[in-house]
Amino acid sequence: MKPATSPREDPRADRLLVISRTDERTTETTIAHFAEAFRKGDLLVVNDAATLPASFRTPFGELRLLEAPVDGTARAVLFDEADWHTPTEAREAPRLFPTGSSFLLNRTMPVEVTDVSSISPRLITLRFVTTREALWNFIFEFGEPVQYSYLKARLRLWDIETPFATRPWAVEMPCAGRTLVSTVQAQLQEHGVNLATLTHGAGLSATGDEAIDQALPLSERYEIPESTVRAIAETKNRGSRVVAIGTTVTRALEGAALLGPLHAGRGVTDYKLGPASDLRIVDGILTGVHELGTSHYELMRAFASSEILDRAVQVAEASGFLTHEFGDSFLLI
Amino acid sequence: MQIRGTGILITGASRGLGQALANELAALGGRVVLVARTLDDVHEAANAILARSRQAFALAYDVADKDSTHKIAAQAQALAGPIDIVIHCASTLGPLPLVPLLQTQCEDFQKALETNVLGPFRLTKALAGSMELRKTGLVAFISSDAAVDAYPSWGAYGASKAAADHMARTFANELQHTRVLVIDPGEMDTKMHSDAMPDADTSKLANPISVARKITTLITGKDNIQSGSRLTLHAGSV
Repeated sequence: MKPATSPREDPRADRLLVISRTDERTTETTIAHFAEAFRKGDLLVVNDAATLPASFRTPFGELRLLEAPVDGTARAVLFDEADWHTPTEAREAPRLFPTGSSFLLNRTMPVEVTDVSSISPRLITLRFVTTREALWNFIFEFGEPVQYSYLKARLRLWDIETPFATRPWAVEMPCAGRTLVSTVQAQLQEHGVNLATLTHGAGLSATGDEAIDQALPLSERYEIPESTVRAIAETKNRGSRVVAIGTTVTRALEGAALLGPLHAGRGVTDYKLGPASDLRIVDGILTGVHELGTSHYELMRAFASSEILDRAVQVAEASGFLTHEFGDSFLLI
Repeated sequence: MQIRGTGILITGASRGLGQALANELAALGGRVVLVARTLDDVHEAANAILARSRQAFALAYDVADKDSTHKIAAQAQALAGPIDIVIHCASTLGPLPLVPLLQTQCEDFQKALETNVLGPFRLTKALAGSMELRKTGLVAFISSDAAVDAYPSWGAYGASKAAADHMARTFANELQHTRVLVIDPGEMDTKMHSDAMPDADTSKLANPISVARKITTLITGKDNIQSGSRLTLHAGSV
């Protein structure tokens, strides 16, 4: 299947494949009819994280933040010096920085390497030697959005923010939320479908380093508001469904649920969902179109059997569905 | 509406009404993000608030610049948390000195539209989507009687303020949970006023500090002013 090569102006035209979790029924439709897939009383939970421009320059290449800095510290992944048109898997091994070394990001921001991961020497922890305000200013003045090699043109900040982006915790766009524009939200409301938010720091999707990619997603922080905990409880009590808008919401809710009854507040999760996962909160998921063998596919296996998923992928392929961040969507429900 | 602990973004905050509002809302415990074009001025205004042990963050950006929109919204929320109140004070007169429309440079009119209409539009677009989902929020547009009365030589400014007022009312009709208000603060003793009318008798002009207090009282008051309302302040009353 082909990726969507540019952001789409109006997501209502995006294709949507509604996939039943229990039988092999699939329904082809568009985001304009998204609300019809739900019943009154269902709850959709979105990730309201804004996306920060996470790509920076080191003296020897590129550096991508894995997460938004907290207390002046963040993990990051080193890349070689290459044009963004080069696919991530084709990037060469970059020159490395040992623990204790210092360098300048974008010839401006002094950073110290406080740790080099045992997973890979490309995965490092940085300490930014500056104030919080100056750090955030540096990020937005010098950072570039993480680019995807299959896109026609560079992404700008305007392209990577969802309609409800709030705190910049994500380094790549939590893109399922992109489809929930005002008119879609209005239709959901008319259908009696509720919306709630949480914030999750979506990390990098790929690095080209096999060891890091196997380990992804690494720990990502989240925050669940009290109002969302209440909304989920009420939804469950009346027998309605909780639908995650995106994999990041799924990881936040199911990761939080591993620790016990859901409660409001902050946490960190590195939960990797798969076929053996027991879903405790989420009943369905809206996600991008992914092909067999990707880690996203593994997460979808938590929702449905490989027979159901394989058939869905076949239908999507035959119908020319577009893949990746600005592509079409699957709703597993 | 609660101010203590609330994220508040104010444009045009380095002087005049914007600065007075920043001071007032910070004094009430708001986490205020000040936006203005000049780095030194906006930092000075924020530092004055910090010196009084209140919370303030400074962002030096021109709201007329499209690329600044998400830089402002994201940094503001990285520093102050979710923004629940936005007050659009940043404003430009357009041509200076003020001249009739036939004499107004096209670029000056364009500048007035960019700063007074499109800038607030883009910032509201970047911030109100979040407010809607969180079912809270207030967006206030600072207006002028020039938006209503077609004063000669105030054409570019007046037209842009009229456009902003109309846009604000449309937002109010579209947004369910975010309150949108238009506020005409009346004539105040500010640099903008002296730029427009250098020979004015400043003793007759309202002090922006007292205007900021009135506006704060209105937006936090018990009689929850309806979204879409246009409030006009005169010296001494509403």
